[in-house]
Amino acid sequence: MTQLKIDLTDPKVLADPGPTYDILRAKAPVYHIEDDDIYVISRYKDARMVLRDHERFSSEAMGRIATAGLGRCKREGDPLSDAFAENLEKTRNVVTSDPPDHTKMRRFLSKRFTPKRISAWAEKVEGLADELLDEMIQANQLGKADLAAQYAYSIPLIIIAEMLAVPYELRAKFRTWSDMAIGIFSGAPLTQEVQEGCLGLTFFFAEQVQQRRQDPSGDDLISLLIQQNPDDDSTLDDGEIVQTCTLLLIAGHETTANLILNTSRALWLHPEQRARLEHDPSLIPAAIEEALRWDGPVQAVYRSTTCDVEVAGTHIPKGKVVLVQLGAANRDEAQFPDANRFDIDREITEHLAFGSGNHFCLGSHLSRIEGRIAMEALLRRTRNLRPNGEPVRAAGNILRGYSSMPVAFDVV
Amino acid sequence: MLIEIADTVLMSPSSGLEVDIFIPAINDYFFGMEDMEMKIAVNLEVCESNQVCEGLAPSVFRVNEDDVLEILMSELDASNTELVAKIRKAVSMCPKDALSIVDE
Repeated sequence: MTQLKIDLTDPKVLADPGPTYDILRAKAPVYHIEDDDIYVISRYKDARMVLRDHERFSSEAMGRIATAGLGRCKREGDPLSDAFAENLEKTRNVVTSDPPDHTKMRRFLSKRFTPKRISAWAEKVEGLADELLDEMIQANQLGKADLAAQYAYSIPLIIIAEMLAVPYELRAKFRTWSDMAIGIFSGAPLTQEVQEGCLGLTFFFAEQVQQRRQDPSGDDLISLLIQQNPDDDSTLDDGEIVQTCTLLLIAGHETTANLILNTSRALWLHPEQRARLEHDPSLIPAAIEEALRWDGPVQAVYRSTTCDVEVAGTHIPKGKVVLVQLGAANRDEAQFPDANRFDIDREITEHLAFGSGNHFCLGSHLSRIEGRIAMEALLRRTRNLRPNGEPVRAAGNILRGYSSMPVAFDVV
Repeated sequence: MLIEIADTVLMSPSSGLEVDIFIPAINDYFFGMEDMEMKIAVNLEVCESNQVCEGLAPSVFRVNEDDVLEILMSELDASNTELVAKIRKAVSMCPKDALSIVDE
Protein backbone atom coordinates (compact mmCIF):
# COMPACT_ATOMS: atom_id res chain seq x y z
CA MET A 1 0.00 0.00 0.00
CA THR A 2 1.38 3.37 -0.91
CA GLN A 3 1.64 5.82 1.92
CA LEU A 4 -0.72 8.77 1.64
CA LYS A 5 1.26 11.99 1.80
CA ILE A 6 -0.64 15.19 2.32
CA ASP A 7 0.64 18.66 3.07
CA LEU A 8 -2.21 20.87 4.24
CA THR A 9 -0.01 23.96 4.11
CA ASP A 10 0.92 23.48 0.42
CA PRO A 11 -0.20 26.69 -1.39
CA LYS A 12 -1.86 24.54 -4.07
CA VAL A 13 -3.90 22.82 -1.38
CA LEU A 14 -4.70 26.13 0.30
CA ALA A 15 -5.99 27.56 -2.97
CA ASP A 16 -8.76 24.95 -2.90
CA PRO A 17 -8.60 22.51 0.01
CA GLY A 18 -11.86 20.77 -0.92
CA PRO A 19 -10.37 17.88 -2.95
CA THR A 20 -7.69 17.25 -0.31
CA TYR A 21 -10.30 17.21 2.43
CA ASP A 22 -12.28 14.69 0.33
CA ILE A 23 -9.23 12.41 0.18
CA LEU A 24 -8.57 12.74 3.90
CA ARG A 25 -12.13 11.91 4.91
CA ALA A 26 -12.33 8.96 2.50
CA LYS A 27 -8.87 7.43 2.86
CA ALA A 28 -7.40 8.66 6.14
CA PRO A 29 -10.03 10.04 8.51
CA VAL A 30 -7.33 10.17 11.17
CA TYR A 31 -4.25 11.22 9.24
CA HIS A 32 -0.92 11.14 11.03
CA ILE A 33 1.44 13.94 9.98
CA GLU A 34 4.64 12.14 10.82
CA ASP A 35 7.00 15.12 10.70
CA ASP A 36 5.00 17.05 13.30
CA ASP A 37 3.53 13.99 15.06
CA ILE A 38 0.04 15.48 14.71
CA TYR A 39 -3.18 13.57 14.06
CA VAL A 40 -5.64 15.25 11.66
CA ILE A 41 -9.34 14.53 12.19
CA SER A 42 -11.44 15.24 9.10
CA ARG A 43 -14.84 13.57 9.33
CA TYR A 44 -17.76 15.55 10.72
CA LYS A 45 -18.86 12.97 13.28
CA ASP A 46 -15.36 12.48 14.65
CA ALA A 47 -14.58 16.21 14.68
CA ARG A 48 -17.75 17.02 16.57
CA MET A 49 -17.11 14.19 19.02
CA VAL A 50 -13.56 15.42 19.74
CA LEU A 51 -14.72 19.02 20.24
CA ARG A 52 -17.40 17.91 22.68
CA ASP A 53 -15.18 15.55 24.67
CA HIS A 54 -12.99 17.84 26.74
CA GLU A 55 -12.11 15.05 29.12
CA ARG A 56 -10.18 13.05 26.57
CA PHE A 57 -9.26 15.96 24.31
CA SER A 58 -7.75 18.87 26.21
CA SER A 59 -7.49 22.43 24.90
CA GLU A 60 -4.11 22.85 26.55
CA ALA A 61 -2.50 22.29 23.15
CA MET A 62 -4.10 25.49 21.85
CA GLY A 63 -1.96 27.44 24.28
CA ARG A 64 1.25 25.55 23.67
CA ILE A 65 1.03 26.04 19.94
CA ALA A 66 -0.84 29.29 19.49
CA THR A 67 1.13 31.32 22.00
CA ALA A 68 4.49 29.93 20.96
CA GLY A 69 5.12 32.84 18.59
CA LEU A 70 4.09 35.55 21.02
CA GLY A 71 6.18 33.93 23.73
CA ARG A 72 9.30 34.46 21.64
CA CYS A 73 8.76 38.24 21.52
CA LYS A 74 11.57 39.85 23.47
CA ARG A 75 13.24 43.16 23.85
CA GLU A 76 16.95 42.84 24.59
CA GLY A 77 17.85 44.01 28.08
CA ASP A 78 14.24 44.58 29.11
CA PRO A 79 13.40 42.37 32.11
CA LEU A 80 9.70 43.19 31.72
CA SER A 81 9.59 41.63 28.28
CA ASP A 82 11.36 38.52 29.57
CA ALA A 83 8.83 38.24 32.35
CA PHE A 84 6.05 38.54 29.81
CA ALA A 85 7.42 35.80 27.60
CA GLU A 86 7.92 33.54 30.59
CA ASN A 87 4.44 34.24 31.87
CA LEU A 88 2.66 33.72 28.62
CA GLU A 89 2.88 29.96 28.53
CA LYS A 90 1.92 29.60 32.16
CA THR A 91 -1.04 31.94 32.07
CA ARG A 92 -4.38 30.22 31.88
CA ASN A 93 -7.00 31.71 29.61
CA VAL A 94 -10.37 30.90 28.25
CA VAL A 95 -9.09 29.34 25.02
CA THR A 96 -6.41 27.13 26.51
CA SER A 97 -8.06 25.94 29.71
CA ASP A 98 -10.28 22.95 30.46
CA PRO A 99 -13.09 22.63 32.99
CA PRO A 100 -13.43 23.50 35.82
CA ASP A 101 -11.19 26.58 35.30
CA HIS A 102 -12.59 27.11 31.83
CA THR A 103 -16.22 27.00 32.97
CA LYS A 104 -15.74 29.85 35.43
CA MET A 105 -13.77 32.11 33.11
CA ARG A 106 -16.09 31.40 30.26
CA ARG A 107 -19.23 32.24 32.22
CA PHE A 108 -17.64 35.47 33.36
CA LEU A 109 -17.00 36.53 29.76
CA SER A 110 -19.99 34.99 28.03
CA LYS A 111 -22.44 37.29 29.76
CA ARG A 112 -21.02 40.10 27.65
CA PHE A 113 -21.35 38.17 24.39
CA THR A 114 -24.93 36.95 24.41
CA PRO A 115 -26.98 37.73 21.29
CA LYS A 116 -28.94 40.40 23.16
CA ARG A 117 -25.87 42.19 24.52
CA ILE A 118 -24.19 42.04 21.14
CA SER A 119 -27.19 43.25 19.15
CA ALA A 120 -26.87 46.56 20.99
CA TRP A 121 -23.79 47.13 18.81
CA ALA A 122 -25.67 46.73 15.52
CA GLU A 123 -26.34 50.42 14.99
CA LYS A 124 -22.71 51.29 15.53
CA VAL A 125 -21.61 48.61 13.06
CA GLU A 126 -24.09 49.93 10.47
CA GLY A 127 -22.75 53.47 10.74
CA LEU A 128 -19.20 52.21 10.56
CA ALA A 129 -19.83 50.02 7.50
CA ASP A 130 -21.36 52.96 5.62
CA GLU A 131 -18.53 55.29 6.58
CA LEU A 132 -15.89 52.81 5.46
CA LEU A 133 -17.76 52.16 2.21
CA ASP A 134 -17.78 55.90 1.47
CA GLU A 135 -14.00 55.80 1.65
CA MET A 136 -13.69 52.57 -0.32
CA ILE A 137 -15.90 54.00 -3.07
CA GLN A 138 -13.46 56.89 -3.40
CA ALA A 139 -10.53 54.47 -3.55
CA ASN A 140 -12.42 52.48 -6.18
CA GLN A 141 -12.59 55.54 -8.43
CA LEU A 142 -8.79 55.55 -8.36
CA GLY A 143 -8.69 51.77 -8.94
CA LYS A 144 -7.25 51.27 -5.48
CA ALA A 145 -10.02 49.63 -3.52
CA ASP A 146 -8.91 46.85 -1.19
CA LEU A 147 -11.74 45.00 0.47
CA ALA A 148 -9.42 43.62 3.15
CA ALA A 149 -7.59 46.71 4.35
CA GLN A 150 -10.30 49.30 3.76
CA TYR A 151 -13.32 47.37 4.90
CA ALA A 152 -13.22 43.81 6.20
CA TYR A 153 -10.41 44.26 8.74
CA SER A 154 -11.53 47.71 9.84
CA ILE A 155 -15.02 46.79 11.00
CA PRO A 156 -14.15 44.18 13.64
CA LEU A 157 -11.04 46.04 14.73
CA ILE A 158 -12.85 49.31 15.40
CA ILE A 159 -15.67 47.51 17.20
CA ILE A 160 -13.31 45.55 19.46
CA ALA A 161 -11.40 48.78 20.15
CA GLU A 162 -14.71 50.33 21.20
CA MET A 163 -15.51 47.37 23.42
CA LEU A 164 -12.12 47.65 25.08
CA ALA A 165 -12.50 51.45 25.22
CA VAL A 166 -9.16 52.04 23.51
CA PRO A 167 -8.57 55.82 23.57
CA TYR A 168 -9.08 57.46 20.16
CA GLU A 169 -5.59 58.91 19.98
CA LEU A 170 -4.13 55.42 20.29
CA ARG A 171 -6.34 53.70 17.71
CA ALA A 172 -3.85 53.94 14.84
CA LYS A 173 -1.11 52.44 16.98
CA PHE A 174 -3.51 49.85 18.29
CA ARG A 175 -4.19 48.76 14.72
CA THR A 176 -0.49 48.46 13.87
CA TRP A 177 0.21 46.41 16.99
CA SER A 178 -2.79 44.24 16.39
CA ASP A 179 -1.78 43.56 12.77
CA MET A 180 1.62 42.44 13.99
CA ALA A 181 0.26 40.14 16.68
CA ILE A 182 -2.10 38.60 14.14
CA GLY A 183 0.78 38.26 11.66
CA ILE A 184 2.54 35.94 14.08
CA PHE A 185 -0.42 33.61 14.09
CA SER A 186 -0.37 33.51 10.30
CA GLY A 187 3.30 32.58 10.36
CA ALA A 188 4.82 36.00 9.60
CA PRO A 189 8.54 36.20 10.39
CA LEU A 190 9.33 37.34 13.90
CA THR A 191 11.29 40.47 13.03
CA GLN A 192 12.45 42.93 15.67
CA GLU A 193 9.72 45.31 14.47
CA VAL A 194 7.02 42.68 14.93
CA GLN A 195 8.32 41.82 18.38
CA GLU A 196 8.27 45.49 19.36
CA GLY A 197 4.71 45.75 18.08
CA CYS A 198 3.53 42.78 20.09
CA LEU A 199 5.23 44.06 23.20
CA GLY A 200 3.67 47.46 22.54
CA LEU A 201 0.27 45.81 22.58
CA THR A 202 1.03 43.93 25.78
CA PHE A 203 2.30 46.99 27.61
CA PHE A 204 -0.62 49.02 26.33
CA PHE A 205 -3.09 46.51 27.79
CA ALA A 206 -1.11 46.35 31.05
CA GLU A 207 -1.34 50.14 31.33
CA GLN A 208 -5.07 50.08 30.61
CA VAL A 209 -5.55 47.50 33.35
CA GLN A 210 -3.72 49.76 35.82
CA GLN A 211 -5.94 52.67 34.85
CA ARG A 212 -9.10 50.63 35.30
CA ARG A 213 -7.95 49.46 38.72
CA GLN A 214 -7.61 53.11 39.75
CA ASP A 215 -10.96 54.04 38.23
CA PRO A 216 -13.17 50.95 37.96
CA SER A 217 -16.32 52.87 37.01
CA GLY A 218 -16.19 52.07 33.28
CA ASP A 219 -18.46 49.68 31.42
CA ASP A 220 -15.92 48.36 28.90
CA LEU A 221 -14.53 44.82 28.69
CA ILE A 222 -11.33 45.61 30.57
CA SER A 223 -13.37 47.10 33.42
CA LEU A 224 -15.37 43.89 33.47
CA LEU A 225 -12.25 41.75 33.61
CA ILE A 226 -10.87 43.45 36.72
CA GLN A 227 -14.06 42.69 38.61
CA GLN A 228 -14.49 39.71 40.85
CA ASN A 229 -16.11 36.71 39.18
CA PRO A 230 -19.46 36.38 40.97
CA ASP A 231 -19.45 32.62 40.40
CA ASP A 232 -16.52 31.83 42.62
CA ASP A 233 -15.25 35.20 43.87
CA SER A 234 -12.03 34.64 41.92
CA THR A 235 -10.21 37.47 40.23
CA LEU A 236 -7.85 37.55 37.29
CA ASP A 237 -4.33 38.87 37.78
CA ASP A 238 -2.86 41.50 35.46
CA GLY A 239 -1.16 38.92 33.26
CA GLU A 240 -4.36 36.95 32.80
CA ILE A 241 -6.30 40.08 31.90
CA VAL A 242 -3.66 41.22 29.42
CA GLN A 243 -3.69 37.82 27.80
CA THR A 244 -7.48 37.70 27.66
CA CYS A 245 -7.54 41.13 25.99
CA THR A 246 -4.95 39.99 23.45
CA LEU A 247 -7.02 36.90 22.77
CA LEU A 248 -10.26 38.84 22.32
CA LEU A 249 -8.50 41.15 19.93
CA ILE A 250 -6.91 38.42 17.83
CA ALA A 251 -9.85 36.03 17.95
CA GLY A 252 -12.36 38.74 17.21
CA HIS A 253 -10.55 40.57 14.47
CA GLU A 254 -8.95 38.50 11.76
CA THR A 255 -11.61 35.80 11.88
CA THR A 256 -14.50 38.18 11.26
CA ALA A 257 -12.51 40.07 8.64
CA ASN A 258 -12.00 36.80 6.81
CA LEU A 259 -15.64 35.87 7.19
CA ILE A 260 -16.48 39.03 5.24
CA LEU A 261 -13.75 38.35 2.66
CA ASN A 262 -14.55 34.66 2.22
CA THR A 263 -18.26 35.44 1.87
CA SER A 264 -17.55 38.12 -0.73
CA ARG A 265 -15.40 35.70 -2.69
CA ALA A 266 -18.03 32.95 -2.48
CA LEU A 267 -20.55 35.41 -3.90
CA TRP A 268 -18.45 36.50 -6.84
CA LEU A 269 -17.84 32.85 -7.63
CA HIS A 270 -21.62 32.35 -7.54
CA PRO A 271 -23.09 35.45 -9.21
CA GLU A 272 -26.57 33.97 -9.57
CA GLN A 273 -26.79 33.58 -5.77
CA ARG A 274 -25.36 37.04 -5.27
CA ALA A 275 -28.06 38.49 -7.50
CA ARG A 276 -30.68 36.92 -5.26
CA LEU A 277 -29.10 38.52 -2.19
CA GLU A 278 -29.07 41.90 -3.91
CA HIS A 279 -32.79 41.61 -4.49
CA ASP A 280 -33.60 40.07 -1.13
CA PRO A 281 -31.24 41.07 1.70
CA SER A 282 -33.17 38.85 4.12
CA LEU A 283 -31.24 35.95 2.56
CA ILE A 284 -27.91 37.38 3.76
CA PRO A 285 -27.81 35.56 7.13
CA ALA A 286 -28.26 32.24 5.30
CA ALA A 287 -25.44 33.18 2.94
CA ILE A 288 -23.18 33.99 5.91
CA GLU A 289 -23.94 30.60 7.48
CA GLU A 290 -23.20 28.85 4.21
CA ALA A 291 -19.94 30.77 3.77
CA LEU A 292 -18.97 29.76 7.32
CA ARG A 293 -19.54 26.14 6.42
CA TRP A 294 -18.12 26.20 2.91
CA ASP A 295 -15.06 28.37 3.47
CA GLY A 296 -14.83 29.23 7.16
CA PRO A 297 -12.18 31.57 8.58
CA VAL A 298 -11.02 28.98 11.12
CA GLN A 299 -10.16 25.75 9.33
CA ALA A 300 -8.73 23.85 12.27
CA VAL A 301 -8.22 23.85 16.02
CA TYR A 302 -5.80 21.91 18.22
CA ARG A 303 -6.51 19.51 21.04
CA SER A 304 -4.29 17.06 22.89
CA THR A 305 -5.18 13.59 24.09
CA THR A 306 -5.33 13.05 27.84
CA CYS A 307 -5.38 9.25 27.44
CA ASP A 308 -5.06 6.62 24.72
CA VAL A 309 -8.02 7.02 22.40
CA GLU A 310 -9.44 5.43 19.29
CA VAL A 311 -11.00 7.57 16.57
CA ALA A 312 -12.42 6.06 13.37
CA GLY A 313 -10.54 2.84 14.10
CA THR A 314 -7.20 4.57 14.54
CA HIS A 315 -5.31 4.46 17.80
CA ILE A 316 -4.00 7.80 19.09
CA PRO A 317 -1.70 7.53 22.09
CA LYS A 318 -2.00 9.71 25.17
CA GLY A 319 -0.34 13.14 25.01
CA LYS A 320 -0.52 13.56 21.22
CA VAL A 321 -1.61 16.69 19.42
CA VAL A 322 -4.81 16.37 17.42
CA LEU A 323 -5.75 18.81 14.68
CA VAL A 324 -9.50 19.00 14.25
CA GLN A 325 -9.88 20.08 10.64
CA LEU A 326 -13.17 21.96 10.89
CA GLY A 327 -13.06 22.91 7.22
CA ALA A 328 -12.91 19.26 6.18
CA ALA A 329 -15.69 18.27 8.58
CA ASN A 330 -17.85 21.03 7.14
CA ARG A 331 -17.49 19.47 3.68
CA ASP A 332 -18.46 15.99 4.84
CA GLU A 333 -21.08 14.46 2.51
CA ALA A 334 -22.35 12.34 5.38
CA GLN A 335 -23.55 15.51 7.08
CA PHE A 336 -24.07 17.95 4.20
CA PRO A 337 -25.47 16.60 0.92
CA ASP A 338 -23.51 17.90 -2.09
CA ALA A 339 -21.09 19.33 0.47
CA ASN A 340 -18.63 20.92 -1.93
CA ARG A 341 -21.37 23.07 -3.42
CA PHE A 342 -21.94 26.58 -2.08
CA ASP A 343 -25.70 26.81 -1.63
CA ILE A 344 -27.45 29.54 0.34
CA ASP A 345 -30.69 27.52 0.29
CA ARG A 346 -29.17 24.74 2.36
CA GLU A 347 -31.23 23.72 5.34
CA ILE A 348 -29.87 24.96 8.66
CA THR A 349 -27.67 22.28 10.15
CA GLU A 350 -24.89 22.52 12.63
CA HIS A 351 -21.66 23.41 10.89
CA LEU A 352 -18.49 23.44 12.94
CA ALA A 353 -17.08 26.79 11.82
CA PHE A 354 -17.45 28.17 15.35
CA GLY A 355 -16.42 24.89 16.92
CA SER A 356 -18.76 22.94 19.17
CA GLY A 357 -19.06 22.14 22.83
CA ASN A 358 -17.60 24.08 25.71
CA HIS A 359 -15.20 26.15 23.60
CA PHE A 360 -17.87 27.14 21.05
CA CYS A 361 -16.83 30.54 19.71
CA LEU A 362 -17.58 33.16 22.34
CA GLY A 363 -17.78 35.82 19.67
CA SER A 364 -20.06 33.99 17.25
CA HIS A 365 -22.90 36.51 17.63
CA LEU A 366 -20.62 39.46 17.23
CA SER A 367 -19.09 37.84 14.19
CA ARG A 368 -22.48 37.08 12.66
CA ILE A 369 -23.78 40.60 13.25
CA GLU A 370 -20.64 42.22 11.86
CA GLY A 371 -20.64 39.83 8.92
CA ARG A 372 -24.30 40.39 8.15
CA ILE A 373 -24.15 44.18 8.37
CA ALA A 374 -20.92 44.33 6.36
CA MET A 375 -22.48 42.22 3.58
CA GLU A 376 -25.77 44.13 3.68
CA ALA A 377 -24.01 47.45 3.14
CA LEU A 378 -21.72 45.99 0.49
CA LEU A 379 -24.58 44.37 -1.46
CA ARG A 380 -26.76 47.45 -1.14
CA ARG A 381 -24.20 49.94 -2.38
CA THR A 382 -22.08 48.00 -4.87
CA ARG A 383 -22.73 45.84 -7.90
CA ASN A 384 -20.49 43.41 -9.72
CA LEU A 385 -17.83 43.29 -7.00
CA ARG A 386 -14.86 41.52 -8.58
CA PRO A 387 -11.16 40.88 -8.07
CA ASN A 388 -8.86 43.60 -9.37
CA GLY A 389 -5.49 41.90 -9.09
CA GLU A 390 -4.30 38.89 -7.12
CA PRO A 391 -5.62 38.61 -3.58
CA VAL A 392 -2.96 37.71 -1.03
CA ARG A 393 -3.93 34.59 0.87
CA ALA A 394 -2.91 34.30 4.51
CA ALA A 395 -0.46 31.45 5.06
CA GLY A 396 -1.12 28.32 7.07
CA ASN A 397 -3.99 25.87 7.30
CA ILE A 398 -5.45 27.14 10.56
CA LEU A 399 -6.82 30.57 9.67
CA ARG A 400 -8.26 30.87 6.18
CA GLY A 401 -8.56 34.20 4.47
CA TYR A 402 -6.66 37.06 2.92
CA SER A 403 -4.35 39.82 4.01
CA SER A 404 -5.12 41.82 0.88
CA MET A 405 -7.98 41.66 -1.62
CA PRO A 406 -7.87 44.28 -4.38
CA VAL A 407 -11.34 44.73 -5.82
CA ALA A 408 -13.28 46.82 -8.32
CA PHE A 409 -17.03 47.39 -8.37
CA ASP A 410 -19.82 49.51 -9.76
CA VAL A 411 -21.56 51.92 -7.42
CA VAL A 412 -25.32 51.79 -7.07
CA MET B 1 -55.29 17.04 19.44
CA LEU B 2 -53.60 18.64 22.39
CA ILE B 3 -51.49 16.80 24.84
CA GLU B 4 -50.80 18.57 28.05
CA ILE B 5 -47.27 18.50 29.22
CA ALA B 6 -47.26 16.33 32.29
CA ASP B 7 -45.08 18.40 34.53
CA THR B 8 -43.47 21.73 34.13
CA VAL B 9 -40.76 22.53 36.58
CA LEU B 10 -39.43 26.01 36.20
CA MET B 11 -36.78 27.14 38.58
CA SER B 12 -35.23 30.52 38.55
CA PRO B 13 -31.48 30.57 38.03
CA SER B 14 -30.99 31.67 41.62
CA SER B 15 -32.87 28.78 43.12
CA GLY B 16 -31.63 26.05 40.84
CA LEU B 17 -29.87 25.39 37.64
CA GLU B 18 -32.26 23.25 35.69
CA VAL B 19 -35.42 24.07 33.85
CA ASP B 20 -37.27 20.91 33.02
CA ILE B 21 -40.32 20.38 30.94
CA PHE B 22 -41.85 17.00 30.54
CA ILE B 23 -43.38 16.07 27.24
CA PRO B 24 -44.98 12.67 26.70
CA ALA B 25 -43.00 10.91 23.99
CA ILE B 26 -45.28 11.76 21.12
CA ASN B 27 -44.43 8.90 18.77
CA ASP B 28 -44.96 6.29 21.43
CA TYR B 29 -48.26 7.86 22.27
CA PHE B 30 -49.38 7.76 18.69
CA PHE B 31 -48.44 4.19 18.11
CA GLY B 32 -50.24 3.18 21.24
CA MET B 33 -47.15 2.05 23.06
CA GLU B 34 -46.57 2.47 26.73
CA ASP B 35 -47.02 6.09 27.73
CA MET B 36 -43.41 7.13 28.13
CA GLU B 37 -42.31 10.58 29.07
CA MET B 38 -39.73 12.65 27.29
CA LYS B 39 -38.01 15.16 29.50
CA ILE B 40 -36.16 18.18 28.17
CA ALA B 41 -33.62 19.49 30.61
CA VAL B 42 -31.88 22.82 30.34
CA ASN B 43 -28.73 23.18 32.36
CA LEU B 44 -28.61 26.90 33.04
CA GLU B 45 -25.11 26.65 34.41
CA VAL B 46 -23.92 25.70 30.95
CA CYS B 47 -26.48 27.60 28.82
CA GLU B 48 -25.03 30.76 27.29
CA SER B 49 -28.23 32.02 25.71
CA ASN B 50 -26.87 31.37 22.25
CA GLN B 51 -30.45 31.14 20.98
CA VAL B 52 -29.81 28.26 18.60
CA CYS B 53 -32.81 26.46 20.13
CA GLU B 54 -34.86 29.65 19.90
CA GLY B 55 -33.99 29.94 16.22
CA LEU B 56 -35.20 26.40 15.56
CA ALA B 57 -38.26 26.31 17.82
CA PRO B 58 -39.20 29.84 18.89
CA SER B 59 -42.54 28.66 20.18
CA VAL B 60 -40.77 26.52 22.77
CA PHE B 61 -37.53 28.29 23.63
CA ARG B 62 -37.07 31.97 24.31
CA VAL B 63 -34.18 33.93 25.74
CA ASN B 64 -35.76 36.62 27.92
CA GLU B 65 -34.81 40.23 28.56
CA ASP B 66 -32.33 39.12 31.21
CA ASP B 67 -30.65 36.81 28.69
CA VAL B 68 -31.94 33.71 30.46
CA LEU B 69 -33.49 30.83 28.53
CA GLU B 70 -37.18 30.26 29.18
CA ILE B 71 -39.40 27.40 28.14
CA LEU B 72 -42.59 28.90 26.78
CA MET B 73 -44.77 26.02 25.90
CA SER B 74 -47.05 24.47 28.44
CA GLU B 75 -48.87 22.24 26.01
CA LEU B 76 -47.90 20.68 22.77
CA ASP B 77 -49.96 19.76 19.74
CA ALA B 78 -49.11 16.11 19.33
CA SER B 79 -49.97 16.03 15.65
CA ASN B 80 -47.18 18.56 15.23
CA THR B 81 -44.45 16.01 14.65
CA GLU B 82 -42.58 18.77 12.87
CA LEU B 83 -42.24 20.67 16.13
CA VAL B 84 -41.12 17.58 18.00
CA ALA B 85 -38.44 17.07 15.36
CA LYS B 86 -37.39 20.69 15.79
CA ILE B 87 -37.11 20.26 19.54
CA ARG B 88 -34.92 17.20 19.02
CA LYS B 89 -32.81 19.14 16.56
CA ALA B 90 -32.52 22.06 18.98
CA VAL B 91 -31.29 19.68 21.66
CA SER B 92 -28.67 18.13 19.42
CA MET B 93 -27.53 21.46 17.98
CA CYS B 94 -27.08 23.34 21.24
CA PRO B 95 -23.44 24.39 20.94
CA LYS B 96 -22.92 24.16 24.67
CA ASP B 97 -24.70 20.83 25.19
CA ALA B 98 -26.97 22.61 27.65
CA LEU B 99 -30.11 20.83 26.50
CA SER B 100 -30.83 17.17 26.90
CA ILE B 101 -33.66 14.75 26.38
CA VAL B 102 -34.10 12.01 28.91
CA ASP B 103 -36.55 9.31 27.94
CA GLU B 104 -37.99 7.97 31.13
